[in-house]
Amino acid sequence: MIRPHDETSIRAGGLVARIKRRHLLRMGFLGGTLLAVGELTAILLPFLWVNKITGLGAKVAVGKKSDILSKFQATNDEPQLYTAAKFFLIHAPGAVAAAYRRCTHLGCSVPWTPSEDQFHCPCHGSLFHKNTAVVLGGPAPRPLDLFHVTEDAGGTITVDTNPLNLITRQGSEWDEAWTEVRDS
Amino acid sequence: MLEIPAQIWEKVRRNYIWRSLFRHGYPDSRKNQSLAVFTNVFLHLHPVKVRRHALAIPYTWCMGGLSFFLFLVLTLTGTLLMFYYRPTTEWAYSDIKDMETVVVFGQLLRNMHRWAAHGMVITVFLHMVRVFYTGSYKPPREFNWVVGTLLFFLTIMLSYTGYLLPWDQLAFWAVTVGYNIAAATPVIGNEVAFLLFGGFELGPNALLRFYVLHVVGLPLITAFLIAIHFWRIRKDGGISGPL
Repeated sequence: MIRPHDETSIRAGGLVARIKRRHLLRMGFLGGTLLAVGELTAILLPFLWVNKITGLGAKVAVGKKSDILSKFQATNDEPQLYTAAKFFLIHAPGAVAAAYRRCTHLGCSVPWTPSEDQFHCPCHGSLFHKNTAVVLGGPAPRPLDLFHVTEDAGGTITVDTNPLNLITRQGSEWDEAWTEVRDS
Repeated sequence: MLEIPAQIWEKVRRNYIWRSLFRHGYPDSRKNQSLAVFTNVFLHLHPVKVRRHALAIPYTWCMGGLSFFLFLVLTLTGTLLMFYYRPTTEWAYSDIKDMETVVVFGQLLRNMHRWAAHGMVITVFLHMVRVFYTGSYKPPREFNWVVGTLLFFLTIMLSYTGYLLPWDQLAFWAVTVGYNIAAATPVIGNEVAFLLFGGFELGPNALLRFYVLHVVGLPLITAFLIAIHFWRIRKDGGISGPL
């Protein structure tokens, strides 16, 4: 039992008896405060970690493949822009792909330029191919990066716009290895 | 005739409320002068007496006091700006535009906030320069020098977080540079940037986070450290003297 300090009980008792009441209370308050502060600190980082991503980084369902392909057919393969998630759907040879709308030169948002029938970056003049988004001219060191695309059993295409999980490419021709969703 | 206001004044001073607010006489004696300082919660951070050399303008250039003055200006004007500013990507830019063109005195208050912010970075820096060149960072004032460097860092962070809030091209790309700096942290760079800015690029989350830091988090820490900074001056024997 814990009792107020008196010399006899200290000498007579064991370890527990030697704890004075004020020590127990002090440790209790201190421990409780540290626990509360520790808990708040521990939940801070998970709390600030954003789970629901909108725009760039989200998984974007872009619709049925048949609809996308018929739109490509109607517009002579014009790239289809998704502004918020920052990508173009492009009709590569034998594939439907998603090109990250970020110039591989210095990161400007590359627009599709209908009058030139190619991508033309306004910052430093890099040019990219309409169907494959490979470099046609300018200072860009490599083709536009691709997002991973998937197609479910119902034919719906989903683009994973996580910019940390890209297909980075080299070369000036479409490589069959980049194909993830076929256009047939 | 003249005794009537004098009588009223006497009555007010003998009133119970007056005497519970002010527990010392008129500060015309040394005792009452001291009491006036250390019975006041704000003034008691200061030394009761100031040395004659501390009043010499060429020694301090008043830079510490000016920094504090600008901090007060920023707090007041910033609080008023909060009545019209909404930290969302839909509204932030147009709210600032409206502040300039529609709100009465809005342009004045916004520009006071802006110029005071620029001014505070300058005065805090010059204050630091003065403290350095007068050797005032030496013991026993070394702890206050550390508090001062933290305050300098907080001033910079307050400027930086405020920079994003107009949500224009300048703000966006300037803070994008900051995003890339955060992402350059060794090993966990992408995670650090994602956590600080709330996304893979600057978006609504980044704007809101910077707003909260700018108007609540950083000012609270700054005010807390300013109080310690002033109090340490008293504890370390007043302002440092000429060498």
